[in-house]
Amino acid sequence: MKKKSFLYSPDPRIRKILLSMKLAIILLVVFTVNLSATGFGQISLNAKDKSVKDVLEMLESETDYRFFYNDDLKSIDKVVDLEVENQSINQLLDKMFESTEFTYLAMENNLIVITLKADQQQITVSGKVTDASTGEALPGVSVVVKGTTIGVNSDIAGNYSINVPAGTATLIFSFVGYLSQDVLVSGNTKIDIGLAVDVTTLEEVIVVGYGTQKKSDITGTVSSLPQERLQMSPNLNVTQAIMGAVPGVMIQTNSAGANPDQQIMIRGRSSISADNSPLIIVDGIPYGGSMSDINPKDIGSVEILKDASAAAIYGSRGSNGVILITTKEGVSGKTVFSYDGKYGFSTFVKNYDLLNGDEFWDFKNTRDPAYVYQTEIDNHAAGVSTDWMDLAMRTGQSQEHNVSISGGYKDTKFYIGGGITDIKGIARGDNFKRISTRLNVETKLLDWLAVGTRTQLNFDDASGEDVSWYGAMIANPLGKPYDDNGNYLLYPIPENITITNPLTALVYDDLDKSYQILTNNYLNVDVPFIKGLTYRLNTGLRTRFTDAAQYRGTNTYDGFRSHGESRSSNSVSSNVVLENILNYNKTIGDHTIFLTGLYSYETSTSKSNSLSAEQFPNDFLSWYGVPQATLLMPSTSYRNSTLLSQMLRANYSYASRYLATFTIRRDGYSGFGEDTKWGIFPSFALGWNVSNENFFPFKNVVNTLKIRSSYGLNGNQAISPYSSLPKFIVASIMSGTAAQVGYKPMVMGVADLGWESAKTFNVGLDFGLFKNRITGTIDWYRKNTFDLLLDRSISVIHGLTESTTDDWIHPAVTQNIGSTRNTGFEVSINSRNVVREKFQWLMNGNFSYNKNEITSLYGIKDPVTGKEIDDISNKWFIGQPVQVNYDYVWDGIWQLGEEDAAAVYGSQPGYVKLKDLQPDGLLDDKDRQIIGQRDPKILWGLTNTLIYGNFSFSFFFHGVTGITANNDRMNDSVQDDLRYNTIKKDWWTPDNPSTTWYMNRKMANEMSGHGSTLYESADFIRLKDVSLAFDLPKNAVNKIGLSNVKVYVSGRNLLTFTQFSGLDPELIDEDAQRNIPMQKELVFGLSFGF
Amino acid sequence: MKILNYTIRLMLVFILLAGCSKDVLEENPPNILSGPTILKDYNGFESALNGLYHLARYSRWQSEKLENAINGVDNMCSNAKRSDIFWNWTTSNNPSDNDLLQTFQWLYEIVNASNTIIYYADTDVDWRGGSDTPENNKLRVVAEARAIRGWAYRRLTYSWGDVPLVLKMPQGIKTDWERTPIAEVRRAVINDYKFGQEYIPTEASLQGRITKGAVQTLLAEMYLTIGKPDSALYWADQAINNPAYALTTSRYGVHADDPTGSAFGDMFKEGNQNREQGNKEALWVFQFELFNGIDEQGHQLSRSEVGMYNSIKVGGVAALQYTYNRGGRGKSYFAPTKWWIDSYETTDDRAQNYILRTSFRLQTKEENNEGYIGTGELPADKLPAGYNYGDTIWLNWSSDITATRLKVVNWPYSRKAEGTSPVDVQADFGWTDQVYIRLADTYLLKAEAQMKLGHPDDAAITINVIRERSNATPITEADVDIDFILDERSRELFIEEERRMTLLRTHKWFERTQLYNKFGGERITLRDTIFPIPQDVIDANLTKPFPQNPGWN
Repeated sequence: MKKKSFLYSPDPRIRKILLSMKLAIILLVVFTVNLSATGFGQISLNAKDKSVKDVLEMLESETDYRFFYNDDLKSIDKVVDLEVENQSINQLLDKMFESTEFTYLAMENNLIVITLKADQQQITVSGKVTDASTGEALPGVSVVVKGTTIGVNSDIAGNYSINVPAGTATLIFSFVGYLSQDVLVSGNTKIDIGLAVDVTTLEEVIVVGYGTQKKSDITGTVSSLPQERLQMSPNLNVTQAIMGAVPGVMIQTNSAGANPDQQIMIRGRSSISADNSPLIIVDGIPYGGSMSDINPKDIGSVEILKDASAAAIYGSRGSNGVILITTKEGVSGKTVFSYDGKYGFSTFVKNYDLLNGDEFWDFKNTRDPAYVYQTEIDNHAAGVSTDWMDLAMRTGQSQEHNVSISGGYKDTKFYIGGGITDIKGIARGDNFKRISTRLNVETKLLDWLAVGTRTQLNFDDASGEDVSWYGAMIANPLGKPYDDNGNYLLYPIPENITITNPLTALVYDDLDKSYQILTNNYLNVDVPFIKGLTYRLNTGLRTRFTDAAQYRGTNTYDGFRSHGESRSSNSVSSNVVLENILNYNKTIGDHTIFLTGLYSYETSTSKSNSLSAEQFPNDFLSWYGVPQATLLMPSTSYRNSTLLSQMLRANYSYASRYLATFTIRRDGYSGFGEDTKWGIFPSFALGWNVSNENFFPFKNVVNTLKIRSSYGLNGNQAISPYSSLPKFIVASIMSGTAAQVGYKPMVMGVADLGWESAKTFNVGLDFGLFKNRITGTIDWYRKNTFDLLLDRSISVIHGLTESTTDDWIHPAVTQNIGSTRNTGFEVSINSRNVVREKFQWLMNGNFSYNKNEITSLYGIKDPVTGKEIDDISNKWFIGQPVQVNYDYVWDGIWQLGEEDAAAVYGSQPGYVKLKDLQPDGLLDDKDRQIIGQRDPKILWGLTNTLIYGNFSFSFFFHGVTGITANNDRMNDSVQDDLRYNTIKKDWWTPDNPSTTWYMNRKMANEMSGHGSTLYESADFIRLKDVSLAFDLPKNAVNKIGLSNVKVYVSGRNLLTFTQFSGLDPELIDEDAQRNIPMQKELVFGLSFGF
Repeated sequence: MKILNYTIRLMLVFILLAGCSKDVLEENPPNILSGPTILKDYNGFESALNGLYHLARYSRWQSEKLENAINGVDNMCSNAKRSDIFWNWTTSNNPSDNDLLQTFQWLYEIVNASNTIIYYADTDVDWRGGSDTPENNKLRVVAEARAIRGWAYRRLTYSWGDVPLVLKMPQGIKTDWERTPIAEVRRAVINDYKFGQEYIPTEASLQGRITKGAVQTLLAEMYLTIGKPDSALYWADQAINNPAYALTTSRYGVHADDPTGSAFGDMFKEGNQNREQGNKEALWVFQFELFNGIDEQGHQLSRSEVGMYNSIKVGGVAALQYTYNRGGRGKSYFAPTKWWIDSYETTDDRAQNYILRTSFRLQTKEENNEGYIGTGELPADKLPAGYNYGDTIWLNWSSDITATRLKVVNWPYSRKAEGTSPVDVQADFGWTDQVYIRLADTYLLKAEAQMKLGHPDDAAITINVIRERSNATPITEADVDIDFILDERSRELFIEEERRMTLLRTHKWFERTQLYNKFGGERITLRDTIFPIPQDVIDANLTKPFPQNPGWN
């Protein structure tokens, strides 16, 4: 048969298509190849007086079939007469061997084995497969007759039974995570076997982006999330699983609650204004959605690419690191069903001790009796003391159920997962429901062609408005929440209508539902005529639709004043990715090369339509009454961005000893200026598997040792589209009764806005000791980020600001200016401290240190000192971390006897004392100083797992060191009219000369007109997770038809050690301290499978 | 060979794909506006002018801008407190104060918005539209932008002294701004005003925009500031002699039948303030309106100055309810000084309860719900023992507001500020249009010019036109001096004129505030005469020192 491909056709029409059809082109190529390769003909043969051997040789030369036989077989020279026309090979061979002692076996790849009929006698072999170390039965082990497709899987009890040819058959036992074993049957009918755990294969192949690689061949820095972090802990999302578990990865919590708001930062803050979030890749496709939309139960592995080389393939956006999430896939063999369910309770870790009615009464009378209202007088006399926090909070409850079915049938592998999560947070009204389903299927259509999908459908329901924790914190305890009829009082203190009832949020009619499709459909081609060359077409689509509406009726504070108000919005965001990936793998002797080429297109669009309305005739129709409302305020939004990328990566390895990787990527981003859209990002890395060297002397102790180093350039384009364009904003005005639409300048354009880039040098060491009893990784890096996308604040004299009617926004412009440096050190160690048959102690720890500093800003030198000048108005200082506290220094309280010293600053005893750093008797801006950094220096995590028999107990500590936080909530921010409650404190009085807190008086918190802020260390050590699990004994479980049953209980945030007196050291800044506090949780779980 | 061939072909495809990418990455957002997309035709310029007037109107609706101009002077002091500066003075008046920064920024935002209009007007613009010729359209648009720019610099110079004079839209970031001598800035202001008054029509191009007469009045004021009374007199006369402008001397409009009213008072009642509504004296009126969905911004003058009448207790009873006809929920952040309340003769129309609140009438439920259309019904006033509906509750201004007598609730206030939402009488804003410049101001500037030119007799005649309209006793030339003129301006233009600017112009701020303002006046020092340059402005000027005003270094 002649092979022929249209690819080589000089057909001009094809060429024209090639030239014109952009992305579809490669798809087209694939299908033309397909045509050429399908179908083969029937065989016609005329052979007289030929030996069997001759006939077979003839067939080999005329067809694709190859024959395998033992030349020693005497009768192979037997002469046959054969005449066939248009027969299949089977028919031909049947006919030829009719009268001989031969028979044949058709194998894979057109290979046909000729054997003696006598050898084909079938015998039945049976036995049991166990784990060699524990002796436990291994279900699902594949048992295959070597060289054939005959095979079975072991059952739940590890037993198998297989019919094999009596001859020289060999059985191959293989199972994921175990070393395969070949056993010669040699007439045995009972073969029991123990498989040894393959400590290397478990991690051997890992996802590195646009492909997978053997871990020992990797030159970059890639951290894998330990599996147990995904499995047992009560994680709503993968962010929670990552926290503390991977070195160099910091999680910032903006708000806790049913659906926490968290951000991830890898290896320190390198960008001052642009987003520091890493790029998230789900199943190979950039993912712009929310992490909480990916069910952790569906996740098979999480890899984090940290250095320039590893991240280089995502060059444009790799500078903040890359997180690769791969969802589970089916494994050929038996279909496995599993269920996992949890039920949990939660309460806050800490809450403030607020003033009760009596204490607030005293507080107010001390501070300014002029603002004591009649209602407060009456309520105080009646003994009212409302504990608003108690009314606003509750015991949280959560439940989660997940089922999955996975397996394979013939050439199809599948994973089907479904989960439902229902969380009622600790703040009343804070609810979150998620239903997600996943379908991962891959099928081989042809030998060389596989198609697959990884698709997830999501439904999120965050309906219901929660009671604002902060609202409850500041609510007036002398106000009553309900009137005599049990309805909410809209004005708890009617004399001051700014005193509101935070509970009325509970009667808002609130809808917040989202629907998301995340689908990645792909096609894999093993290019047939070039061995090792594969092509992959990846298409990704994410679309999220959000339906949100809220109606505040006349029974609520806002609704009463506006006669009903509604806000509703529909928004759609979508992300489309097309990737063409070529991989070429070739080994010649000791030389292995692995090449990857990529062309990709990605576009993101988001769009929303919103409608606000006020003045409803009644509350009957909620937001559906909008057509009858008097006042309508519609608004729209739209944004779109596009990214084009090309990438080439070359990996070379010599004898698995010397490794090299070179990567170059070119990206174009629409959001940059006209001539600065494109960036080129090269990188290279070298690795040396020292332990593979013959001369390596310590092989007994050190079984793996790899030194690797990388250097490269990555980019960051994490700014909004349209940032380079000058913009106007709506600023309308009335004229008589007619509104006149107007516009005013808002932002100046920056035509040369381009890529923020980072140069990273990394050197690392991977090691395994004592046959991998201890494995670990050590890395040192330095990352210099330059051409920062800096939202630099500009002088107000430019006359620009984004603000219209609301809060004032300081004018700023995004510019490529300035640079930062992160230098750090990371260690992670896995150790199996004790491995006995009955008892195991496993430890898994990581530690990372990062030094973050600004190395340059505007490049303007101070003429006197010659040093580059700082940007004080933005609190950016050369040589200091990006985020620092810069303020006046709290120096205690002016005490009695210090009257004269205090008077110098216009202050007096009982008032706050701020340090006059330049002791000139004047407290001014020169007396401000840096008070600690706002990102931590050190992060660590330590997991200990103890396994005894069927019990396993694990606990995980996470620690953060070197961070200073603004404890803003301590301030008596009660407003001039004393409308708000505050935290109980040891206020200074002449009789109680407190050194901790100034007196209860307006402006006692100021000195010389400058306010005081309390900064505290926010270091903490927290017992994040504890879990105890029990696996029911296998034999008992098997009797009821299950393969495993596990019950467990786990707790989160049960212990915290910190000196921070604010709400929670994990809540990153003063705004976060106003949100729902962190919660501790206790979760009970059950999982089983069959 | 084959592999090579294949690879080359694939590379070709890659390169082709890359080659076609330019359009894909181009940004043409359909929803974003910029100078080039808006300022290309007449309608675009009209919308940019609307944006400019939107900014100008901040002077009335944003309370820090408002307070900065009218509180802390001889006729106004803090009462329930809005900001630290005017409450505390001393250390509170410092460069870190955010109100100062925002006010400073706002004025430069006006400058930039004007500069943007002026810059694009010289590009290729289609000026056709409206009822005028393309040439006149352009002149008028530029004239309005320049007049408003001059007006912004006027306040910048009064408040901060030397300020950077920016007459061209900045092309890029500047870190080396320089303070321009005040005289130079004021020359630029006069140039802008002169160009403005030439092409701005007598009747505003749209209701609420600036008029020729208003610019001429501002021009007269600026000439007085720089000590050229003869020019001031000339420009004041230009406005006064324009037949379209006239003092309101008889009752008119929506309240014409109210027997307690007066011609003077009618000008400030909702429905009456504008020229289009019969107020021929108005020269520039800021526009506010509810229920249109596009621009519903109210002003904060009402809550800032209207009294806390709801807290007045008579015989232990807080009698008065918030109502629409009382102008909503006053918070009396600042209040008139006792001196101002006492500065009127009893016969003066300008001091009657119709326009200067000195008493309340106890109202029934029906009366309290007059004009109210919100949720439910407003309650009737609570009757103190011995009182009936219709009885009067008197306010008390027998002793000054002082540091020890604060948050006074039964204090008189000007009713020019009144106004609230008819659906929410506790709203934080008022939506009554605000008269900002009117011809009486021009008369008083004229009188000042006459006096300075050595014609007190003429000045007396001019002042008496104003006084007689309000039944105040005419004066003689012997009465005329700068203090009398300032007294008269205070009586006539309370809340309308930016009193701080007037006192700074006449170099009387420190003296008169010390004399008449009993809560604040005792704390101010000479350094408070002009404000400190915001620290932020100094810090942002990275490459050139930006000198601070004296007293803050």
